[in-house]
Amino acid sequence: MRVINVIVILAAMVFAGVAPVHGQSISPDAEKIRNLREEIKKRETAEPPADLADLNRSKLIERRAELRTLLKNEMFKLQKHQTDLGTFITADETQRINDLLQTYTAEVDRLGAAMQQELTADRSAGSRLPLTTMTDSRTDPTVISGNGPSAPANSAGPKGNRTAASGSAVSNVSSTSIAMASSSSSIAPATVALALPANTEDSKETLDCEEVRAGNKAFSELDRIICGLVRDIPERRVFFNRPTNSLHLNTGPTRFALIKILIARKTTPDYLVEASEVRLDKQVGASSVNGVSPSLITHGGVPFILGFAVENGGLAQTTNNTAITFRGNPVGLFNALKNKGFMESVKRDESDPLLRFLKKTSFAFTFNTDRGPEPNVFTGSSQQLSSVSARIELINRRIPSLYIRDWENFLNNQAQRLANAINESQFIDPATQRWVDPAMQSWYEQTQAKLAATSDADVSGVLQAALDNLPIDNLKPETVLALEAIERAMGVYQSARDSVVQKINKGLVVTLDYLNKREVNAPDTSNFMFIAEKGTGGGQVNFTFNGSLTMFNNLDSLRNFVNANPTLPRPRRVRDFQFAGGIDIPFGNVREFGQFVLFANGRYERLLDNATTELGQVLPNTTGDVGQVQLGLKIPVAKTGFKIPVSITFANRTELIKERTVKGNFGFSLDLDTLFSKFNPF
Amino acid sequence: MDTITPGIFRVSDGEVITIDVRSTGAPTLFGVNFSIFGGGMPLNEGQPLQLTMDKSRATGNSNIPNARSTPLTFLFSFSSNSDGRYEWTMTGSDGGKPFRDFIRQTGSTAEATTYTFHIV
Repeated sequence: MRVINVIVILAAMVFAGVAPVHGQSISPDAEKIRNLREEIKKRETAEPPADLADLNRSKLIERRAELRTLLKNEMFKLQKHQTDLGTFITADETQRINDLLQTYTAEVDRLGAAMQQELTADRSAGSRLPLTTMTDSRTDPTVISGNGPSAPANSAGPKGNRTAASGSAVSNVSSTSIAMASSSSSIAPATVALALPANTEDSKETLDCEEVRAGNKAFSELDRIICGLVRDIPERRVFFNRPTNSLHLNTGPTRFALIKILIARKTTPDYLVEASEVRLDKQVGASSVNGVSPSLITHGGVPFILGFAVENGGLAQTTNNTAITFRGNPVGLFNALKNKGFMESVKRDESDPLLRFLKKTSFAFTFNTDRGPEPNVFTGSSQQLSSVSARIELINRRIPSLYIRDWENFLNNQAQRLANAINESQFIDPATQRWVDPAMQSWYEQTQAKLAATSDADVSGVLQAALDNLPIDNLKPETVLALEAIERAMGVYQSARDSVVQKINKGLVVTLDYLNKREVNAPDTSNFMFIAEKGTGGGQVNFTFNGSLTMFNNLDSLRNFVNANPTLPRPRRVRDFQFAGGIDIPFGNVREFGQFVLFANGRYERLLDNATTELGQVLPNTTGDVGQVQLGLKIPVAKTGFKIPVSITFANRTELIKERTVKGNFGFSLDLDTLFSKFNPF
Repeated sequence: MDTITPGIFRVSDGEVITIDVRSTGAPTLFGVNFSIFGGGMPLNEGQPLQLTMDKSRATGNSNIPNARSTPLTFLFSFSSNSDGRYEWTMTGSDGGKPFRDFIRQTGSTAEATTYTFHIV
């Protein structure tokens, strides 16, 4: 048996070692290569009608470019395999690899020559560019090709540029052909070789821009800038009616985004490369006075639309009930149901006084799944409805418009200095629209060529691979000095901007919460709670204070119970009062794992009347003081709106039992705002 | 104002350029600065900016005969955490097609765009 095992393992090792070499002919790309070869052959020999000739030729160029890319990838894999094996490679393998490399190289060269020939033929045949573009190009020497401002390297004035214009006038029907065309006559050899889809195999880990945009985890400013460009490129292609994807240096954010990326990669300032995030003041789950909440504290904020939480293990009493809470804002929910975009809703509601008022309100329903005919099954019936609450915001000092003076000071000083610094920088020559730094210009031409041959779906990978190859170490000293000047201005700008924003985030928020707790047999209660929140530590650390009073809604049932048990004291209207405080501290490697939040809460409760069980029994001698301390952690679930809070609570007693207790709690919560803004942002 | 290509314009000496910027994304304190001819200031929300193109103050070279060029930079600030957006339209007093552009907030840092004006 052991011998068989050894043979199997050896066989597996042999196949594992050999497979990559033979894999060149059966790799996943082999089928694509075969199909492309076939298509190219057919298109080369095809005799399309005159109306389709141009389209056929542009497709031919495109397919040749695709095939070249695939072949180059295959060559790369072969060379990598050869390198990886090192001295273990056999003579047969080396021979096979060399043969394949030779074959592929010859084919790549043939394809390149054929593409050049097509382009030359196109140039001599004249332009098919739209008339307006041609007019611009001929009358204006600032020639910008359909692929962006890629003026010729050795242009000697208007004539040279006009040559570039005619070079760009190859075709506007094919992304690949445009990429080739944009290289222009003066830089054709170098650019033609690069006018292929990017090979991203050697690039670093690719950033998931969907994840960055969703905002469920914290990302660095640099990540956001890169993903902003990824989003911007196809968007601008459509907005400016361009045939291919490209970097638009002269519109929108592109030029400054590249400058910021250069700065981030060159000097890694904290404000660009460190991740940050987080809103700590949202209450998604049940109120702490509900009796089923595992938290000692209630936060003042609410989801803009709807939040959902499942929590297990109430702290106030000794119960293990499971509570499901739906908390939301009536205006936000109404807009969501009407399929109004998140941002559209926010902006429109700001201008309507009634909606503005309603936005300060929220509601919550908590269901106790232990109730009803099917315990532990959520039915949503009125029997399971354990509490209803309404909330109104009394003070909100976190409204940005309250800080307009600080903002204007910032704009007049730090922001203006940054604007001037950017305007005075000379990264682009205004006459040629080329980067003044040759290394950047070379990088730019290569990137433009790659992007031009890239579909929208592939922009992210291609751009990120290109950004990984920014010529950080080859920049001219003048460029480095200019970047440093902007970095200094940006650093001052960022401190001032953050200072204003943190001032806003530190603002006091006071909320009044009313909760009607519905009992099975015990008398229902009403709880009035003041919730105050104040940020510190740059708005990152959040302090919360709760003060509440609980009253019985109806004393009749209690009186009946006491009348039957004359030793018990007469019931009072006020059941208890409570004070609670808490602190939330975000921490951890947010880039890798998302935003963790460590929280510590404490609560003091004075029970003025004896506690009652769910069945309505009054427990004698249960008045007194209840003190609780809680430590916990909110764990984010990557790529979702879910968070899992886990905590441990120490108490001198519970409302029902006068014994020290230690209790663990967990649950999960989902903030639908996150999902809604992801699916329907505008 | 003629748009040579998006972001590059040819204007006459003394031509007045009007820029109307609006915040169209997430609610944010309005924060737009411009810089040209070595200076600038913040824009007031709802009040279009008017700039006179003065060739004598333009210091950049140009490949248009007898023209000088100048950059015009707009800096966009956001008090919001995300989803801010500005849109604007530029028109010239001498006619020409209005030019529209936009910028989207990517993070907490400023966004900026720089246009080139060739003043003839």
